[in-house]
Amino acid sequence: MSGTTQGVTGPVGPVTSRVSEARVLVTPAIARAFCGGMIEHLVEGREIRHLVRALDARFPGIAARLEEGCAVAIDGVIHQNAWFEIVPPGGEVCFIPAIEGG
Amino acid sequence: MSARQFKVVGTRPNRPDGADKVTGRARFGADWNMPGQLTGRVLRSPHAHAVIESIDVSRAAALPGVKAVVTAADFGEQENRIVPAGEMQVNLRDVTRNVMAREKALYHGHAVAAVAATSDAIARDALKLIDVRYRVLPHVIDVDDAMKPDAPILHDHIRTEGVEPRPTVASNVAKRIDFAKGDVGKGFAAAEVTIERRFRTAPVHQGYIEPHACLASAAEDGQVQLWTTTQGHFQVRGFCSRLLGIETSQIRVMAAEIGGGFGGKTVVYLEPLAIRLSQKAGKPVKMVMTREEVFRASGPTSGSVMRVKLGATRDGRIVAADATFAFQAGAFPGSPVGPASMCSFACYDLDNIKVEGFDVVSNRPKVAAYRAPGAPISAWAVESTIDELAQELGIDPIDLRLRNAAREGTKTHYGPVFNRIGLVECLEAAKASAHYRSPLKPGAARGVAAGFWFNVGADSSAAAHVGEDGTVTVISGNPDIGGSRAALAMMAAEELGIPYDKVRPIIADTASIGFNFVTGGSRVTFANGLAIINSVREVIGECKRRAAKLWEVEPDAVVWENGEVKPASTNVGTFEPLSLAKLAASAGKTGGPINGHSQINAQGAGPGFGVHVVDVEVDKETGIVTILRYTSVQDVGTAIHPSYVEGQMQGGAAQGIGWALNEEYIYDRNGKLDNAGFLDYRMPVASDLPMIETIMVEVPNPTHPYGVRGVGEVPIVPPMAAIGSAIARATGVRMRDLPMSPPRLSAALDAASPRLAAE
Repeated sequence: MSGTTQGVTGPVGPVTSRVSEARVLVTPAIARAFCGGMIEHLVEGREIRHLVRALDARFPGIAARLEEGCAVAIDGVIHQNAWFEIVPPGGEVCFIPAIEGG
Repeated sequence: MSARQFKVVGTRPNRPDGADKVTGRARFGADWNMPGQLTGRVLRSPHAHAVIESIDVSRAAALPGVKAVVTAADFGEQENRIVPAGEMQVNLRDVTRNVMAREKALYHGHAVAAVAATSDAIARDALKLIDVRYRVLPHVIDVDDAMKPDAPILHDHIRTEGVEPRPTVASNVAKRIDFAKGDVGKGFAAAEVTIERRFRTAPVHQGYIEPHACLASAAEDGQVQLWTTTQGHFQVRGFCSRLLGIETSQIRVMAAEIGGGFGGKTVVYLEPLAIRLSQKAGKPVKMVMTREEVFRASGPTSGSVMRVKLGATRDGRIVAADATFAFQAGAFPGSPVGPASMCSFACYDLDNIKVEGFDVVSNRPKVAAYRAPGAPISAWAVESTIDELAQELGIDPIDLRLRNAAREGTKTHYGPVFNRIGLVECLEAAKASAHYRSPLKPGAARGVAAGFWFNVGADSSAAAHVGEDGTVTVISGNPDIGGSRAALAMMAAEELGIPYDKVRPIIADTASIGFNFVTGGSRVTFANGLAIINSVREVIGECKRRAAKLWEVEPDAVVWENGEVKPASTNVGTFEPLSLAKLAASAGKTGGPINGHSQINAQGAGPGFGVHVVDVEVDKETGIVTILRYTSVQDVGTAIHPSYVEGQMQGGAAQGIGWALNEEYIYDRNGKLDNAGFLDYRMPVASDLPMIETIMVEVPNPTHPYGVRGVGEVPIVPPMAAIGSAIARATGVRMRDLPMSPPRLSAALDAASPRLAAE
């Protein structure tokens, strides 16, 4: 059971061990489109995919937006397409636009 | 310096591709040929914006020697959906229309048809026989014009994303983005000094010396081979597969040596056309762009209009920052305004930041990535304003940056908190440098600017093969555009504990190694380096297992040291160490070939920061700026091959100097590019530049075993603002539009001193 800033329950998915609650931040545009403008969320999940699944249960449709065109920073370290990355207990997870490069 | 002691890393051996390149043996995109090949040529729109009412190719197809003609009808429609492609997010509906115009021509030079013929002359003649009926539409080039409510609309289906409620009418503004931290209103209320400025940048081209070129051979059994100059041959395969409906396993792409890319060779232009022409003609087709085509039809970067507002206290603490960035995307959505917005204030640890960005289509070629896409543009505006603030406050520009610098623990305005970064170390190194402490000659002035780029990791595959003599081939799949072959071989040699010249790096084609993302995002030495290190560690593990078997001891009773397997201690027994060569010689008897391989999505690329210092002299009559001295300081993590790191730092500075002082696209009233060639599009040459001095600051990236950070993109971020600030300090005239070319600077100086101009 996750505590959330919006009182929405979670998580969804087979979280069996090392469950942790992360502070998840989305971009303002995604927050407006899916989360009623709320940027920060407390979400339970062992891996990034669990967080995405839990967020999608609260905000239907957000998963596709987070999985396409977003990178994710876990405690400041940027990951691309990181479904299986472990979320440290109490960690901060930021979804940001995917980084381009030349 | 790095804490770890290296034997190979940090040395400066010759590059493995050096001899071929200086003797002319290296084969670039246009150097590949096949028996019976045809020449492909592209018919391009003479209009900046026009409906294509009809195309009649019958006369061209009937010309003797013409073997195939293609138009948009030869390419299937694509879904209107964003998909990842390399490091760019692309919409295949737009990509297929950029490769070949469908309903409309959207820029002067937009491809509308292509032919393949037995000679270049016949191909050119055939283009003249293609009848295209256009209905010319009003066009729009500049960002602010394209954003006006009555602007000609390029795409009827575009509704501005990121605006609530979603608009119901078509717009050229494809997307609005925003980032925020803190409360800028509160911040500005606490400010004792506030500065707000507006800036513009002209669109510029990456300026790679080698034009786009490829050779396609489509066989009757459906197999396709393609040789091309590209930053990502897997990317080319993916694009061609989707655009042409060919399975990826049927397309084998060989990356030629590349004569510069800088981001501009992460997309496709000719390749799908050459393959389709080859399929239709039944013969190989070679296509090479002219320089004019490169300028007219391949990816430049955005022009922009920007606004930056800073608030600070008198003691130099910046309390609020607010900016708006509007970028040209070209004919289809997808400018780098996103990274520009994220990079804009990344150098600073500020409590209150607000950034808004707009992605705007206009009748220009679709922009492609250009070295740290977007970051140099927003840095021009932000860093110039920071310098004005330093002047206003009477604070040294490096000291002002040090007072506000991002450091470990800084929360960025786009979300993440920085881990270990080296901006403060760079600022301190710049301040302590001989350059910064040197006196200026009379009339000269000095400018400073900082810059940031994320750096990326992403998908990488690599292998290490041990030959029967114990030498090693390391195989990767990213075109080498900056010395990465040498860096990869050096890391393999370091890991194995063998000399560099016992390792040969190879760049494999798409059928010979697993998938690799494009060479871009400053990722190859970092991400492929990780994959190479993993591959080599597999080799070492295999060697240890075999030695343990031979010695009949437990696997953990042996160690790998200096290219040999040894007993872990005297308790294990007395055994003669087994070198890689000895193990390789008996490999067939101990289990077969010794190889290692790795496939990863490399995570944890370390952010990069740089600080540039420049001295300039301005001829106040002509507006000509002379760069007297230039120093590039950068946190490079760990410099694997320092010469190539320095080369990146120097090259980025040189490109930035051109962007600052001369480069711009000039359009006529019909939207036709007037300076589509290097005579009129002025890039810096060696005689324009002093030796660019470099100071490598090494703050190792904690997520890489050798501390590697990407280094290729940061160096183009600070130059324009550093030069603009030097010019402002030399003349008292602050330029806010790029380029600061002699006519523009001269006019600005005249406007500032009308009496002098009249004389």
